[in-house]
Amino acid sequence: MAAQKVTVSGNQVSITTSEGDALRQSQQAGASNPLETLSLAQALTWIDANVTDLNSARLALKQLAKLLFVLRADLQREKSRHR
Amino acid sequence: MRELNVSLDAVHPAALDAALRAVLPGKAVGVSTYDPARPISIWLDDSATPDDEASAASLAAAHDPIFLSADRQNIAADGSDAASLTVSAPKPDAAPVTLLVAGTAVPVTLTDGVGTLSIVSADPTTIAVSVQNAANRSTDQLTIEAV
Repeated sequence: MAAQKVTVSGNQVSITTSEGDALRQSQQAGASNPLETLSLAQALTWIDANVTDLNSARLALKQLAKLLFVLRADLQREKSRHR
Repeated sequence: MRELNVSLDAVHPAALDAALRAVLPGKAVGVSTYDPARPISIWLDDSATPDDEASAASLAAAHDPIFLSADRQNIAADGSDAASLTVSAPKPDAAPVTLLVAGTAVPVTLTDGVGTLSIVSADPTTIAVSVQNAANRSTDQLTIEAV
């Protein structure tokens, strides 16, 4: 089970999990990730247009890693929701 | 078997029974409760000594019950759907109550022996709730599922 984080305010106790926190952080960080909103054809075109040297390749790989992380966290969240 | 009668305003039978068994292993047999006006029975083995009876009576006098209840066992993991916990410590001079919520100590403010907490979760998870320092007070444990 993911680590739980407890926040107390007055008589309200709020729980989050490490997975959920990571997901929210990734979603915030990836808000401007073009790979998140493009279709496949558009994404491939974006890669062709933008991956022109090592630095831009590194940037694209980072965007891809962020996208995969968000998708994986979404999947885990859905799986635990249907447990 | 020997019977010891004790008058208590409120009793958490499982908590008192566990406390007796911890202090008088092999000699504490159990606790019987009746209607509130009637003293409870503490059952001791025949091998219990007068000192054991005094220990049992002392434990009963110190018994400070806490009862936990929740209005729901399932909440939506959306950060706003809440389960309401009710904490009751009916002894007139009850000690402060601190709950363990997902392992974190959460003090509860009691008014006339009753306190409430609401629990929300932003993520799907199982939330365990129990009483901190529960010896001779409570054995209640709640589980809230956020889905």
